[in-house]
Amino acid sequence: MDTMEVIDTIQLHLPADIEQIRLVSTCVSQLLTHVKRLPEPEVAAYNIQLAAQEICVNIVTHAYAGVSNGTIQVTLTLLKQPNQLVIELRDTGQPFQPEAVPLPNLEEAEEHGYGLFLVRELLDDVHYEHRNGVNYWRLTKYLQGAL
Amino acid sequence: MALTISEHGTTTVVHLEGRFDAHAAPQLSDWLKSNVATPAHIIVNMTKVNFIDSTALASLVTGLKRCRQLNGDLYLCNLPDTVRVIFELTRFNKAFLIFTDEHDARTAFASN
Repeated sequence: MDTMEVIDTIQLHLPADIEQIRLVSTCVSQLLTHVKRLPEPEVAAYNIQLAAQEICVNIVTHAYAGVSNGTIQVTLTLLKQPNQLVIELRDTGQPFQPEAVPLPNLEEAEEHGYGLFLVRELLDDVHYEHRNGVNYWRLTKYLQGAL
Repeated sequence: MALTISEHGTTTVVHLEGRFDAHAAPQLSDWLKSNVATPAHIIVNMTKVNFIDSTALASLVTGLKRCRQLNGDLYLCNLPDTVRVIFELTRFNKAFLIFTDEHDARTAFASN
């Protein structure tokens, strides 16, 4: 990201609370107002908002399961060349185990397992790592339109 | 999220409005748990839903299964385009009967 131009960035320090995480959606909308001639802007915004929501819900309900005072640090960055929105999330809850999350069976509607599937479908890149007690997610969506 | 109910004979229409997410989903789950009885003819009208996540989708699947166990069904109608895309990605559009508008959904129950 070092060589790319930062257009705007927003940082949030959120309590790991299922009601508070909707603020991330508001920030996505705010950053996308910089993008001119964004095709289907409502769909683009919704897809990124949903992906971020799914990761936040995962953090609140799984990483911080049984923990009442967890926090999530969220950094949203709009970058130019290539135009992209990057959302970084950090928490100190239990490590995520990708191998423990099977793909949903799309032939039969189930009640669990769609969150990460949707994230991967809706974004261009999803990176996760656990280092020094911190879970780090980086979500990337490339944007058409002009900055 | 706002949840309002209207009754039409043996069919109950649940109108959802706003953000239907992990925070709001228990509202619908609780209502379905307390109010669905034979004949379980439920329509969820989503015309004013501006956001849905996988937890909310799961609450609809739970409701669908409950209604079918009670010899009924749970129909959906008026899905906004953004929401419809998510149903297509998850293939929930194959699991639910989805109608363009509420009138068609009510007609479908009436003709059962």
